[in-house]
Amino acid sequence: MPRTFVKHRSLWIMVLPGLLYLLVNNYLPMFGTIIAFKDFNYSKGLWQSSWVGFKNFEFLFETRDAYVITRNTLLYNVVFIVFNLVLALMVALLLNEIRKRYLQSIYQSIILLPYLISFSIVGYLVYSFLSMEYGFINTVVLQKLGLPPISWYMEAKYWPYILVLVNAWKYIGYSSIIYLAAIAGINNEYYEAARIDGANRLKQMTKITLPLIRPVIIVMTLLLVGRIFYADFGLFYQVTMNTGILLPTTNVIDTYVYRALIQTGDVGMSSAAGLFQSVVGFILVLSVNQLVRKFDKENALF
Amino acid sequence: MSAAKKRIVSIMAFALSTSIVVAGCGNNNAASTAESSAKASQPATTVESAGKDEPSKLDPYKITLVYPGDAPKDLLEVQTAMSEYLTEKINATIELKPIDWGSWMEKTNLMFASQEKFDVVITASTLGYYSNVAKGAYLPLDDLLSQHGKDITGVLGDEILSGLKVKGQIYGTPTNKEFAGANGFLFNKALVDKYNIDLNQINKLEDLDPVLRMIKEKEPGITPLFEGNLRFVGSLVLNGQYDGLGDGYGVLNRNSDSLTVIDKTEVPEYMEVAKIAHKWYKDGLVNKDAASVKDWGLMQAGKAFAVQQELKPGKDAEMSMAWGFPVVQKQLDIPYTTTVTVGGIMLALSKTSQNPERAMMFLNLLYSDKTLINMLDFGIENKHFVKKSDTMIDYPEGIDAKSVGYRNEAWMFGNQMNTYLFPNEDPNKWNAFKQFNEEAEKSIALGFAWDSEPVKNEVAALINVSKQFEDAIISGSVDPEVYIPKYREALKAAGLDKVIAEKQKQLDEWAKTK
Amino acid sequence: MNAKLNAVTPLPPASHTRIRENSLVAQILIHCFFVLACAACLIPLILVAIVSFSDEQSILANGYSFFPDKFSLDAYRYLLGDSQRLIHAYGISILVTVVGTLTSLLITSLLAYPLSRKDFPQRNLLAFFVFFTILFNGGLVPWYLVYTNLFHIKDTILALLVPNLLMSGFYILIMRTFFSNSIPGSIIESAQIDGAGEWRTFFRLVLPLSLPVLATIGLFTTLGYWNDWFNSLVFIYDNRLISLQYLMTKTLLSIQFLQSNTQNSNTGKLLSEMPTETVRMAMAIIGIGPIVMAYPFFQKYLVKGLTVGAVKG
Repeated sequence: MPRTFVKHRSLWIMVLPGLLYLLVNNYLPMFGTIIAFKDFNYSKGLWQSSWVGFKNFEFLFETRDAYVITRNTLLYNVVFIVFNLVLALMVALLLNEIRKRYLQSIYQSIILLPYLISFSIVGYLVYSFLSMEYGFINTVVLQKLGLPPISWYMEAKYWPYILVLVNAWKYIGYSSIIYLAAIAGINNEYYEAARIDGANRLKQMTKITLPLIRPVIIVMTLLLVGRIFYADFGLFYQVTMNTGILLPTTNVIDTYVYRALIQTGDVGMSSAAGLFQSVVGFILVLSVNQLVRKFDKENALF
Repeated sequence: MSAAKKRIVSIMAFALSTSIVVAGCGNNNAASTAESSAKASQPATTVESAGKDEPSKLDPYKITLVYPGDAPKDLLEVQTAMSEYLTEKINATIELKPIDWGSWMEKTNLMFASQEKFDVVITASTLGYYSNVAKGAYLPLDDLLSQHGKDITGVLGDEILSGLKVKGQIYGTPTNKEFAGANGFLFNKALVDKYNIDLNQINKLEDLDPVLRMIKEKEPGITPLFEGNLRFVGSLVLNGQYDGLGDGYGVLNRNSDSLTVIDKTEVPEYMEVAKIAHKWYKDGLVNKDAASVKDWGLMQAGKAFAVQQELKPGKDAEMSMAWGFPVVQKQLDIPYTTTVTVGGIMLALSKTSQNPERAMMFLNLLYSDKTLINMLDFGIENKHFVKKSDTMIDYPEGIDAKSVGYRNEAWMFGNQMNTYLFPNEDPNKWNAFKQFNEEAEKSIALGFAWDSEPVKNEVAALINVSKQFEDAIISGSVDPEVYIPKYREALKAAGLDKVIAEKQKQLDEWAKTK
Repeated sequence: MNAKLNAVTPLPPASHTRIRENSLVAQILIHCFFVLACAACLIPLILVAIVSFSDEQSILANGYSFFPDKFSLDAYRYLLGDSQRLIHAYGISILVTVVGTLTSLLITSLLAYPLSRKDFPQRNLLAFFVFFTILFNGGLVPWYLVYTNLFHIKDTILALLVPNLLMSGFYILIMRTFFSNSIPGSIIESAQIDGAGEWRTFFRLVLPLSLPVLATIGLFTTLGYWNDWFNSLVFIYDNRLISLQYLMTKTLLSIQFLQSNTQNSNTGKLLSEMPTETVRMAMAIIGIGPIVMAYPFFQKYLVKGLTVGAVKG
């Protein structure tokens, strides 16, 4: 051990600043996780507050909503992961096929733009399309088609589709950049060799590009699986305009906890919720990582 | 002689109690504990010898006041002027620490959690007063009030103050303004005049029906009733018919004299009002997006005729000013005073205060000293305002509400009835407030503080359930015959019965001690 | 080696054989796809811009429209009314973004690179150490206590630079994957056989070969810094230190807060005095502007430029 340390001294020095930062920013506050098991009292502080065991976790499981919010959170995230992966890969691969540099740049910039708009603004944009009174869809599209207007904000059944679309719209540009960068990192020699062998573009795409960016795809997916119990608060709260009647299909763990605790600001219960989300994600990602190790040791996370 | 003796005893008891409190919060630092308890007892002895708070005998101390608001340009100037004045009065200086509304909850929670030292802080029953009391954020005030807060008790009266007791102790002093809530509607005055509508004829919801239909018929571009922004037809009943006993899960019916906690959805009025609302909604008297609108939309644009609103004297003048066109108000119920309305906005002392006596003296001045409160509210005379009469002020020449270098929200602090009025306000405003308070019916549960801690899991679930159903039902967007039973069933599933039982138990205990 | 790098020529322009490989029909279809996708992304943004230039009353009465009854500069006039504050906040944001992104890229790549080295024995352990931070956190309160009670960064510029934004486990792991994916171990070995130390290898060989990923992560970090308002919300009391996004966000947050606390009849007054519809959109436009201008800088490095062969010369 000491010998390898000496041998890799420079590498250790390289990682040091980063590790120190993670220690301070992430590991040090983790001692605070004990709040999740305490009845936090301001005047007693973190350490003197009394222990309450798993009491702070109960509110997540004791209700009928527990099933709904868990199902919603999981299903949405699974769909987001798959749908966004497919779309982002497609965008990246197709962008790579465009031979006119400037068009490629323009397309790529424009597709990233939605990422720059915050969800609170997105919420109002969606509203301007779907509103009953003056929404574009109702007053123009459905009218032209001769269909009756739909009160979108009263019908929970439409929202899974709306949210998947909005989410893809906002994030595709972002994820496709990562894949585009991965494609840009591929050694050109591979393509030259393939051309000599007479492979067409489609073949090159499936036989060279995709296999070579597979490690990036795996890592991105694994990282997202780890956060599968976390929901994007802005998407579910602001894009739905916090409309109550839509809750059966739009209430997720994060919005449930937010609503439940906004008045009391109970620190113990909110840490408990966070810890629960992390632990489940952790177990899931460990299992998936084990699976990846089995088939593709090189590309496992660790 | 005996009175003086009594005083000494109570002062000593008080000094003792504060040193316990101080020791309790600073237990990781023995030295500072000793120091601050010494400090704490010192003003007490001064009081004893002088019989009055002699400023020169008090140690200098800086009071930090934390309140919501945007920091105005001339904040430091006003702070300096206030400090000079306070030094004269109680040998203290002041630090004004405004925090944006948008970050108020996060920042104050973090300030409490990190045991930051400050003295006076704004709170309200809707800003976590009860949960913060439970978490030990505030100092109990009973002793401090009797020692240094005589004027506060004098101005507010025992009934109001004891309405804020939690487990026998007061933790906040409310602003002296309206203490009751009333409900009714605001109407676009131009339309009221145009059709000669006699608002005095509108005394209940049914009376509104023909008026709304007439507007719909005669004014095609106008929405007769605007709903949104949490102002629904049914809010009238929700806010006016019940004492929500804190969180509104398990309520008292205002019309009944018994202390029986009930499920509000079981009261016939709830169904009735939802039916009216739904009828109006179906007949197109109400905007269709009622349950999701988050602003004043059509009403503010002058494209709607009426909107439901919590009212107090002069609300219509206030809103006319804000919207830029005249509206008139019509109150449909008698004002109602509950624990929640009394705690509309308060000042509390932080447990981390290094000198609670001085902080209380400052609070006392906010209720008794006209100069100080007006300085805090309006800034420096002849710079931020000029006096027109003893009670009336205006902006100096060339300055208006937008360009003035200092502003604050007068309703947040102390004795609002001591504050100046602007020319566009009703000169009789404070009398109207007093009358409003006197007219108000007091809930038989006024002063009951609900502690939701034993059933907090159920409450967490109930919040989500009522979010799902309530807006839709009371706005009339859905058929109440279908949705109220569903709502009731979901509330039961979320544990409403358990919450009601717990609330009943606490209420009975409270009634016994009352 | 530096000289060699500069002498590298970009890829030869697309040759005729390449174009023929991809049929014209395919090219047209691809362009159609992107034109549609771009329309979907641009049109809402145009709506944001138009609303920001609309008259508040016409929005309240008719909703958002591409063709408002009346145009108005009121929203911008309101925002620029306090232009000194706005310019100051711009300055803070630009400073924090530039300094933060550069520092972040340096320490992120320094950590990611050893993790990608197959001959570094502790790489999996460290990768786990990094990964753990993506999933678990101590929550807001302990995190705040660490930074305020231990490091006293409240009301300093460090509060905008350091907490959370400086490094993300997510980006470290992505970068590690890129390093191990696009830089063959053999090159590093041969460089070291030639006598280059670890540092020299890293700065002269690894980084230049990794411009696409550096540009990607750099872009994300820039966006992270630029869009951040949370650190200002939590750590900054001094109005002179708040970032642009927080200056904007706090108005919106205040509206939201007051809306969810409307039981108090007084807050209604505060609410109605706040400009809402058009200002909200004007803020979005003001906030997006600089990023859109900075974007081409990153984009330059996102496309294929260097090849391993070229660097090796």
